[in-house]
Amino acid sequence: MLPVYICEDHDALRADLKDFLQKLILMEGYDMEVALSSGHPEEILRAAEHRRARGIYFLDVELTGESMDGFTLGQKLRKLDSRGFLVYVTAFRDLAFETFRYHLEALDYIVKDEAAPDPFTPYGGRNETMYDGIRRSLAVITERMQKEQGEEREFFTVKVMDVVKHIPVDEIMFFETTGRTHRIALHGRCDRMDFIGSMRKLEEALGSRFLRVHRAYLVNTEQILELDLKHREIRMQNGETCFFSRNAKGELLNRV
Amino acid sequence: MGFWEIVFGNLILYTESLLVCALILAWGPGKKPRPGRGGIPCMALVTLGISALHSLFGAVCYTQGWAGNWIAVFVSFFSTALTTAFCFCVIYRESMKTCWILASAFSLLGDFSSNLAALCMISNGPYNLAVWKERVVYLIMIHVITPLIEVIFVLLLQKLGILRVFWDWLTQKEFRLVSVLAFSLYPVWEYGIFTFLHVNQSQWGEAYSVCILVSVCFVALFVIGRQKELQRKQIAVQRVMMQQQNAYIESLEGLQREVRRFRHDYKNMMAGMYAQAKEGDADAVRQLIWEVTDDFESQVGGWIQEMTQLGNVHMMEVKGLLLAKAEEMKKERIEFDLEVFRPFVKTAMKRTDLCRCLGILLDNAMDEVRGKERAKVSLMISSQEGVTTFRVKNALYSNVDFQKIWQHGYSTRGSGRGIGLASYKKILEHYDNAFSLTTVSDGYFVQELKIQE
Repeated sequence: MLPVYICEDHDALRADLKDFLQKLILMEGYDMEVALSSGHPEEILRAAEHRRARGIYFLDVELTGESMDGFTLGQKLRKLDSRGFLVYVTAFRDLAFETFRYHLEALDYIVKDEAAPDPFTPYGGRNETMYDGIRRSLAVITERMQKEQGEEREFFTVKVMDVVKHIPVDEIMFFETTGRTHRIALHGRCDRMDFIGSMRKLEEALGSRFLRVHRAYLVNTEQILELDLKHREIRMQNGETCFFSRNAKGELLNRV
Repeated sequence: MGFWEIVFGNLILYTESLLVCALILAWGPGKKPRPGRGGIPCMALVTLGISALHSLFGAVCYTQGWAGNWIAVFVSFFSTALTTAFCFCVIYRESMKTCWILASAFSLLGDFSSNLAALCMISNGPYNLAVWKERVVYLIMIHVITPLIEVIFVLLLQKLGILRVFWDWLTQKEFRLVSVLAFSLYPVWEYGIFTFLHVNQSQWGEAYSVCILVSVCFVALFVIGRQKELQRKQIAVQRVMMQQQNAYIESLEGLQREVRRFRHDYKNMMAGMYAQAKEGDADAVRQLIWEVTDDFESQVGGWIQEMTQLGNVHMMEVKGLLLAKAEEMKKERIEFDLEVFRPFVKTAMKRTDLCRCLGILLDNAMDEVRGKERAKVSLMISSQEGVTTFRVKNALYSNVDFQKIWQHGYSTRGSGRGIGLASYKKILEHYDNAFSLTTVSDGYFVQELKIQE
């Protein structure tokens, strides 16, 4: 059962949110429960730390009078629960979704409207967009969890300064050493990036699918399109080329 | 004295002077050798090879009796400087121009020192190396006194702050032709003066003194010229900053105008709402409240949003660039989504370089979405835990284009044509702490520039 946490400093809205979520979970039959609804980020952190399970977090960005804002709370939650789902519910339209998604892998960014809570219709009026957003988020989360179970794609994980990148191994063409020490360039189908590492360690980590065809190149042999034996060139599936050394020729021909 | 003896002597002398240069470079601007793919042995071997060739050349000149000739003096000067420049190229992997100026400067230094050394020893003219005593004096002069004077002189220049000026000039990498020529042709006019004064064989001392004086004047001239140039640049930078400030103020004024206009509308709406509330029509009031907030969002909300984000950029140059780009995009009907969540104050990259990089990335994104429906370019600037990230994102409209961009950027070497990714890469090459990442995901083209602070 996935625990759902709500951190929102606006009392009425928090109660509304909790009520709505509980009903939605019941109605849709999701395998979730509202574990805690609070206005204090510390309480959320404590509860998450105690529970130590993958959770869903609906967080406000602006937490007036609290020790941290929603962003910092998100960072701390990420450290406790790296695979959890963060959903931001905020009064500011388009405030910084890119930033939140980039640093916290936030799932969604829902705009609420505190200005005109409608007393006449339940959760209705202008807040309809917010509840729509929440409905959508839960649906996406369920879908994603189902997908994860079936998925067995292999990922290459690398840390580039403050972020961790995951790249499907079958989309990597080759690694190349650059002129500078310890710096390696990854050439992928959809990626091109630099990172700090050593070719030898990569070779060990990636296994036999990758072949060191040259001092400067570590190639994904499954992504080779053709070999140009005369110029000792390898053409990859994405059209990029790299070179191979004389020593690697035999092994390379074996593999292709 | 045998031919090979001379070659060997030259080689020792030359490597020694290279070592002194390397020491000064390591101590002054903290330049460290950057060995290429072959590693340090390869680098040392290549340097030694170049030096050996040069020594051989010198020995040939000497044994052929070309030494006294003034053409030979120039040839020896230029070949020495050229050789040194080549060696610097190999060792430091800098551009030939930079290396050449560096080599010329060291030649100047060497010349000055040997002149001073000659003056100290009060010796008359070329040594006869066949005579043992003269040879010892000569060796002491070139191996001990000259390097000593060089080091003392460099220390003095450092103390006077002149060295700093020179290093700054060198690292900025844009040289005016006049200064380059002045440096390169220094021996020509120095030697000219020398021969002019040296009509009478007995006046060695005077000739040397004048040459030394000329060297000092040259350095002084360089410093003065450089300071003038710096001043001019500073004024230019200030002017640009003023313009950017003005642009910023103008946009703020525009915002203020919008707010005033909205206030006017708002009053009218409130009046209407008041009337409706009086009648007790809750639905109509609700509708009106909705309209007022929506109106505010559409009229000033976006603007305030943009200004708040821009207000978080505390680097004037970047702010100016973003303002200019935002203006450009507004004209081309491209939505510019700027996100600066936390204040962005400083970064390890030089401001001019950073502006160039960002400019290239934004231009690329604009080129891709220009003329498309709902065109949008996003820029995120984020400073977190000692890392600054710049992330430019735009929708991709064709897969083919992406491939082209890919290869374009990496195949056009420095021509700067097309999308400018080549020059972007080139700028980043100067930074060990800057990383670039390019990704295509979910139909978006994403360029990231990360700088470790």
